Amino acid sequence: MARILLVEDNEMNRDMLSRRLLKNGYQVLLAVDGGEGLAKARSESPDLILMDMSLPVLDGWEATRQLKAEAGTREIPVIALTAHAMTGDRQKALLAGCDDFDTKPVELPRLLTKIEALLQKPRPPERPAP
Amino acid sequence: MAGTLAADGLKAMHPVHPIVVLDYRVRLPGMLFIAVFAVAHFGGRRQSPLLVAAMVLTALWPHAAYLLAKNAKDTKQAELRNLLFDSFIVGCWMVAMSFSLWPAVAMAATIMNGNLSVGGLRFAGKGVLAILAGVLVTGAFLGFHPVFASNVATTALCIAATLILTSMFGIHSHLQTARVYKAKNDLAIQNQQIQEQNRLIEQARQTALEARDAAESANRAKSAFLANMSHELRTPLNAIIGYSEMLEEDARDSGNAAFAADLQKIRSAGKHLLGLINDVLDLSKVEAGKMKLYLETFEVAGVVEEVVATAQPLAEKNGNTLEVRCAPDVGQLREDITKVRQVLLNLLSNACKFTEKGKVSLDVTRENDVTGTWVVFRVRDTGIGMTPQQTGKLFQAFTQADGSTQRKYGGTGLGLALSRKFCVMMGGDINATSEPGKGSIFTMRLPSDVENFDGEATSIHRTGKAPMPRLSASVPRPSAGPTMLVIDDDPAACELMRRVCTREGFDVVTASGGEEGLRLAREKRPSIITLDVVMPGIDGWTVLTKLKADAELSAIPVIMISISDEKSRGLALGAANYLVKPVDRDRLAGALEPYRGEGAAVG
Repeated sequence: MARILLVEDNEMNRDMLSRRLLKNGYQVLLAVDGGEGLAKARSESPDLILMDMSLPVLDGWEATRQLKAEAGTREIPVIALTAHAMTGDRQKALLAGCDDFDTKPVELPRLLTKIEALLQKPRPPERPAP
Repeated sequence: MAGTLAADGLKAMHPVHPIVVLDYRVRLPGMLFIAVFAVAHFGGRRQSPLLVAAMVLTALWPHAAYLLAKNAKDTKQAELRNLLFDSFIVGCWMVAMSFSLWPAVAMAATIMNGNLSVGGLRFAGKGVLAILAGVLVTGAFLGFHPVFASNVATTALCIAATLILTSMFGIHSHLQTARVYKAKNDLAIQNQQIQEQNRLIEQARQTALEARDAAESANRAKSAFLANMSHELRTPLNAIIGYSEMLEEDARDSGNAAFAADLQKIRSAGKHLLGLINDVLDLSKVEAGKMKLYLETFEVAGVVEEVVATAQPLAEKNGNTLEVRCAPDVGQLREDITKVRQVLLNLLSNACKFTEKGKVSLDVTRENDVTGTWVVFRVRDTGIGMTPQQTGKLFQAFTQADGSTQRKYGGTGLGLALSRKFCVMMGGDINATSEPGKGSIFTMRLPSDVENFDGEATSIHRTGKAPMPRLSASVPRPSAGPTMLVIDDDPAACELMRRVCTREGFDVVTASGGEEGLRLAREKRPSIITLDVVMPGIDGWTVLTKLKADAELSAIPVIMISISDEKSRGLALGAANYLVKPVDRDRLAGALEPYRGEGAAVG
């Protein structure tokens, strides 16, 4: 069973998304800010990380940058979640090292497709689907 | 007579030199005086025919001289010739009047005064020669019989003539001086007025600048507020949409169809609201000049397919058929794909919304005209249509065709305003034609490559203003992009970078090693350098250190590209960015984004 680390500061969003992921058969780990997200990624080695970008303590951009800079966590795929579908955010997320990108509110089927795609690949794809 | 002729002269088509008029005024009485001297000198004695001829010349010469000078090409030169002829006449009369002392003095003094004041010393010399010529010519005919004495009347007349004629020159010179002074004063006053006007203009400019600053800061505050508020609105909305979606799934799973349908309504209303909030945010960004274009090259057919798939359910909802005809040669577009998609979807969903049990069609073609190559999207519907008045207001923000439309069909009226703004940003436009009851046609035109649009698109995000499509749009952009130096020992990597970065608008120069790289950096002064770390000879770290130690090169941003991830070391040594190989195109483009010059940078 794949383990997904969800880093999200908004309680309702966290609750919602984690329940829906559980229902779809994933094991869910939670973190409420970038710092905790980083710590859990290191200690738990999840199969995939869903990272909100506007986070307290350490924002999602920086947390991802650090994850991708460390040998132990570099291989964990990261999907960035941002509030508004701006192409700029997508480029920014990919530049920070994210493997894919989605917008909130989450459309679950679409997000699940992206999660599955990343989980099945042995290594992060060079050109993620938009 | 003199007045008329002089006035005539002032009105002449070409400017007449002032001495022409002055001399006319002096010559007229002067010649008259000479004639009177002669009569006084000769008294009642019988006159020779030669003297009669000379008297006639005296009566006609002033007018003839004036007309000759006035109509000459160079009026001053002509007048100088006239003066020499005057001098000649004086010489003649001196002989004719037997060199009588007073007439000779009066005539010589006056003509010499005139010659000196008008033509200067050299000219006065020529005048003396002319007088001598007159003396010799007349002497040859009449012989020389000098009688230096003259009678009382002649003497008195000569004194009067000398005084009058010389004082005429004096008065003239006084008036000229006075005129010069007046002109000088007038100039000073005008100068003062100009300075005062300049001061007022500067003041007005300052006021305008302040007003502009105030308006800009107010606009920024408005945009920041809207952006912030949109975010605040979106967060609870996310919860509403998410939870209703979850509950809807649960309801379906437990077979509660009625609940599921209601929850679906909550969710779709929430999504609608979210779309509106996003529109408001986008519009405020466009108006604040903060909306950016993110260009990429894509297949038009692919985007059309995607959008049509999204629009299909909307068409079916109102019982419409959706027809799509995409020309096989439509090819690629270099534009902001997200915005193209958004505008196209907006046009299609509008068409579906305002049409019932009708037909909505989309035609995509590639068209060439003098302004360049365009991709044209035409959305036709057989819906309710619009009157010309409604069409006119169509693209204004916060305006729908009319109030009742708003109640019946919903929407904020932002969609089309936003669509047009996006299209204009992308170098194109949208137009609508419509007939009430028959349907509407919306035509979106986009340049096939917005970058070759003369860099106009670049200015958009700064000003938020619409660029005017230019005729030069079809002219290929000269390679005036910023220069980029790629330092990498692997020729394949260099070639790849050259291909990718040229497409990104850079003028790429490559170096196969550290030494060459440093030399080219000094020669070419590139706008940006990408630097491989592992190289034979001097490695990337050394090159970076040397670049940063050179005062003239230290300002050039350097992007390190390496297999090993030593970002912190790179940044510590002064690199602007650090990318780990293999670098994909998106990531590279993102890293280069800040350094793209005016010519290519969009966003």
